[in-house]
Amino acid sequence: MGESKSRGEQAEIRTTLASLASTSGSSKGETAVTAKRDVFKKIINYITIGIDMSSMFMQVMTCAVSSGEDIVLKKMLYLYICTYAQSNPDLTLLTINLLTKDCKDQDPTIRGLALRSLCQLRVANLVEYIMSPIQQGLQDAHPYVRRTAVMGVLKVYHLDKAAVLNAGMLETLQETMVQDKDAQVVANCISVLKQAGAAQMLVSRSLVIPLLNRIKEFSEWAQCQVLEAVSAYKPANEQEVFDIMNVLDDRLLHSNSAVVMATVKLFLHLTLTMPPTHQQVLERIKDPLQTLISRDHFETAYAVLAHFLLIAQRAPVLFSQIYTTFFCRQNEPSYIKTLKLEILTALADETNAYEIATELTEYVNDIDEQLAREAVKAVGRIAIEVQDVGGIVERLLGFLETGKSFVTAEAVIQIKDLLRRYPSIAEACLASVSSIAPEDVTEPEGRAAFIWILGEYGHNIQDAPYLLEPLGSSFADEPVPVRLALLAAVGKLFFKRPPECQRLLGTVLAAAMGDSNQDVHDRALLYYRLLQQSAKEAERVVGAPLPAISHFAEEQSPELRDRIFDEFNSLAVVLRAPSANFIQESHVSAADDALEAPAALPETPRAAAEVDEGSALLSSHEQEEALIDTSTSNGNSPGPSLVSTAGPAAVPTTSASAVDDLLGLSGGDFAMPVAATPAPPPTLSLEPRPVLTPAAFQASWGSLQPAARFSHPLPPSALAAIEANNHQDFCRRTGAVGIATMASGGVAPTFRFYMYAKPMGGPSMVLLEAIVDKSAGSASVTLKCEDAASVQPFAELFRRQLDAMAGVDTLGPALHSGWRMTKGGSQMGPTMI
Amino acid sequence: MISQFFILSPRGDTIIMRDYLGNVPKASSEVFFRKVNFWDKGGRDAPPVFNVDGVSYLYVKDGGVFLVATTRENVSPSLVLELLKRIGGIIKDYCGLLSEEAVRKNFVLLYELLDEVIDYGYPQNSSSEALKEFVLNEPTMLKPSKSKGDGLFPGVGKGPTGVIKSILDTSRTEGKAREEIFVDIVEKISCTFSSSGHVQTSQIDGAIQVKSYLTGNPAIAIALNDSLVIGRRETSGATDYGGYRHGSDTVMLDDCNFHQSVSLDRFETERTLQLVPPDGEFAVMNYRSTYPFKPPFRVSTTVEEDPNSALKAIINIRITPDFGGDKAASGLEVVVPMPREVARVHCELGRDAKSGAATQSWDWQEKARRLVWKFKRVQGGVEHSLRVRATLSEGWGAGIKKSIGPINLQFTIPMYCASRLQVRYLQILKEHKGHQPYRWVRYVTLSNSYVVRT
Repeated sequence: MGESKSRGEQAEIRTTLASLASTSGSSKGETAVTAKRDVFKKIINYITIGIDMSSMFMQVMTCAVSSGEDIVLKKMLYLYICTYAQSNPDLTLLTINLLTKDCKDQDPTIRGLALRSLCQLRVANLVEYIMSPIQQGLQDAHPYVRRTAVMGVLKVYHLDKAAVLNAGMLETLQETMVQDKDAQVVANCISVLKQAGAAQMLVSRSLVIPLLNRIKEFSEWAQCQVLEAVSAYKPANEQEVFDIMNVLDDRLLHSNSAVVMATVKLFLHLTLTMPPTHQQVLERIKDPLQTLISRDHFETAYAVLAHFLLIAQRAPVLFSQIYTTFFCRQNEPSYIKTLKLEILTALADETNAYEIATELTEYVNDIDEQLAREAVKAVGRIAIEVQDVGGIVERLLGFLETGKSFVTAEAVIQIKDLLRRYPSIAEACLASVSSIAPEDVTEPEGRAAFIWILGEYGHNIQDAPYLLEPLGSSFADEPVPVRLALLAAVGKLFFKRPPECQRLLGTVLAAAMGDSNQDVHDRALLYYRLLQQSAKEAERVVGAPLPAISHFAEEQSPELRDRIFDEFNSLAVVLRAPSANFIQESHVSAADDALEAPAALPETPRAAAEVDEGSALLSSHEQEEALIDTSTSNGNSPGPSLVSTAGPAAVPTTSASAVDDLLGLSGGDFAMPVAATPAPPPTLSLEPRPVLTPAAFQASWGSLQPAARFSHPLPPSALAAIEANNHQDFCRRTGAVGIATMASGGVAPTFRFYMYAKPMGGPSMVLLEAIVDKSAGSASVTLKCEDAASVQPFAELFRRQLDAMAGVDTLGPALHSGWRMTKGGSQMGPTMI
Repeated sequence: MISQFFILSPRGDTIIMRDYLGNVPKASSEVFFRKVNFWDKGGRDAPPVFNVDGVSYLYVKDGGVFLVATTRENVSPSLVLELLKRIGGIIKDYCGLLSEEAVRKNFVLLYELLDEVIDYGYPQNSSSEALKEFVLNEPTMLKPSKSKGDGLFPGVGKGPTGVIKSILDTSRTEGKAREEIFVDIVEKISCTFSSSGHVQTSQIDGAIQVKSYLTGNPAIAIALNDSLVIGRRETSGATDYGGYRHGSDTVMLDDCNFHQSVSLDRFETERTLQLVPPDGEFAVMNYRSTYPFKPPFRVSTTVEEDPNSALKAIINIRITPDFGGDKAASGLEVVVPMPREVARVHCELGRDAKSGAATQSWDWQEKARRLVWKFKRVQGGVEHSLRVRATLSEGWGAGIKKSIGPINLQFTIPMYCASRLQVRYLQILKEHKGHQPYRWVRYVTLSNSYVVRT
């Protein structure tokens, strides 16, 4: 819809409104009312699609007031007023009279409607006008008005807490809750008291028992509120627990899953300290929950399934016999299928693992590629978790031959994990694994896993070196995880089958040492130096046999699961995180404008410690070059070996981290070592987490003139470090000193960074554009800032950050201290250069 | 509770928007739509609950539109999703159906309804019945589109999901509108056959749906089979096929649940449900049975190498409707996914198709790599077969046989009830003055997930 068209129609509406308002006196007939209704409908339609209709506030009011007795019109008027009250508090004041008058109308429907709208205006300084209509509403003869009045209390509470507390309204609600005959009024009282933080008023025995006795009078939603409130109640003794459960047992037969889930939660929480009864409850809820997930309503089934998963992880045995319930059905959406696969994995034990794996195998042929992958993963997971069940590993091996490359890739990954857990099954697996070729496994993770297996078990796979050979020549084209895995695998295999691998190792090491990726480069260098020092020690480090892993870390720790279980029947279960992770401090009724600005950009330095090393390693780049020279010249000298000089403490560190990485398990993102020395204090201090929206950045950047421009030369090591890890390391480093990244990108050799910072106490933001040109070996930086005083200090600060990147191009300090001592055994640090 | 409620069209336009707490940005509907459309890069269905920047989005998709609630609180997902589902139901009750057009045509009515259903984010009055008192706008009814097929009950033309009628019909034009009540037993069956033709798993998910247009809301009684057994008996071993094998008329259910309005006083002894049906459509009882039943269709396939051509395979599919000749399935579709090696297919309908050639057809959907064999109508007991000549992109291999399928069937069988649950009688407990309301009791069985592995 064109803007002009809507503007034209708005003008038309305005004219119609005016003419209708003026003629009202004479033609009060039905036609006028119909015409007014039509024009109001149009207005509401525009409101819905987001067009601002507030400018005709007066006309709308006049037009409606003259036909005051028409309820349809009145309702639309109320809707209009409530929509724009907040942005037009002055005009809203004019409507107060009309609304308070309607609050005293004869018709309870109108009284209720007016009261509801009155409370919904959300204008804080009008609260005084609302209090007395609410007070009267709470005493109204008609339940409809009382329900509305109770909710009104909450609306005012969010606007002006003190007004509600001073008027003693919460106490009134508490009385109403006990006395009122209308169940919905009672339910609303419960909701409001709970929201107003007066939940402790709800949990006395004298309140809970009568509520439960009349639970069937409540609507299904109100039943949920009651059950939720009661779940905070601590029964006096076990008998009372049983009484409550007996009263509520038939709630488990309700067709509304919300009622059933609220009941389940109550039962589970009541019996937490009574383990045998708790087990009975779990038994009891099995059937009702299964019925709820079988209805053909996927959305509600999803919520129930998420709870099933939680319970199944806590008590898998209970459900191990009903595993067929969780077999996927052809017409289910993927979110249901995914959950079901997880439940099946959780339920698998000695009694059902074979049947479950058989079913999962069928899904591997599914047209839905993601489902097929998840099925492979699930089979792998079951193979790891459930021991001594034949046939499962065979199924996994069978997946290697499906001819679908993504299935092969997933299967290889699972087999790799399986070998880590049970090295003894290697013999059974290797024949199948060696029958595939690396080019069959196209996905990086799968290929890395395949390479790992070849490296680790190369002594048993005759073709291993020849399978790896083509990868060596295409080394530079492989993705980073594959390069790392290949380096590790070739390193290991070299010690097992030196004659066949020597050339391959040479090719790979040469390629890797020239690699632009930090991790690949560093690891290659490590191998190279180790080999130069002593092949024997290198074998000890690189070719160390791996201990079997007895237990893989689970996605969720049991503690986390317990915390989520405490929040049963809430979003925490579905989102799989305690509510503290996704609920922010409530800001009900906060001004909309404040919310329109999204929270700061996500570029927050999450692990400050990790980033801190920034400039501490400044000089190590030069050190490193020197070290290579000296170590080659000293290569033959019988100087003390790495291990003996570094002392017992250093060796485990080195080998442990090396081994871990050789597994390819930690991928490319192993944490940078932390240097103890803090960065030199910058002359300009920046706020640690500046906040700027992309829109604001763009606007300021467009309007400001450049305050400074400079070009800064960068050594290759700094360039590589900036480029590494998709710029993230660099951005994290700058983030740690308070320079946040708005955007970064570009393709080699040119990268662009847009950043911003807020000088501590300074009046305005500093905006920055840095264009890093790899071919020219420099960065061109443009600064924009309103406050000229901040520009030079900031420029200095940023230069230091760029320089610091050169220092990153080193191995960790632990290794270095070892190397330094090896070299001369005496001095340390730059003095040696 | 909930901060906002909105309805989005399939293209993402906001067609209804209600903000209750004002603590979620106005752009939430755009955030929602983008997220749903590009879940996992657009390849998968977005889950009904997700969180973006501290705002939780819960949605239900029905009639092509999204019913969405946003919240910043840790609410019960079941509560919000059930509420959204209920709102969808209310719209159907008032407008006759739920679709983008129905919502657009009736948005003022819907605002009116929503005002009563939710106050400040808390659910209030949600029964279509009780809402009538507060609703003044008249619904604008839509004609159902013809393309939607014949509905659930082709013969009858009306059904719980086929009746396009607002509940305001009886209340506003008392006396003139037809007094009628529909009681339908709708069963959805899931059945998985192994490649050797055995039933691996099966389940019936059933519901007794009631849609009442009776004035004065009289109580009704629905009597079910006397021999209804609910709950898995401890004694039932693998050999116990319920009553089915022995030919008795025992109906076995695993579990069931009931609508709020149902009184179970006479259920334990007489298997009779008593209730005062509120206006609108609802499920009186949902039930679930995993006891074996007779599958209505059997499918067998053979895959062979073509002796005349190395690059061809011959697939024979035979389908046997295993129910009485007095009944007929409608809209049967047999979907056969084909492996990558199959470049194209050509099919010959069986000789039997001569008489009913018009009711059968086949369609090769190249992009989705599947063959669909369609029937307008399949009479019970009459076998059909299809001979497929598939052209292969590479030579015949044993792997091809394995990678065809699994075959999936979709169908509707009116007046058929897989569990054999029956309504013995439907009684309207009210003094009649020579005027009998129409009472419809109907049965239908639909496929839910009917999979034949190959």
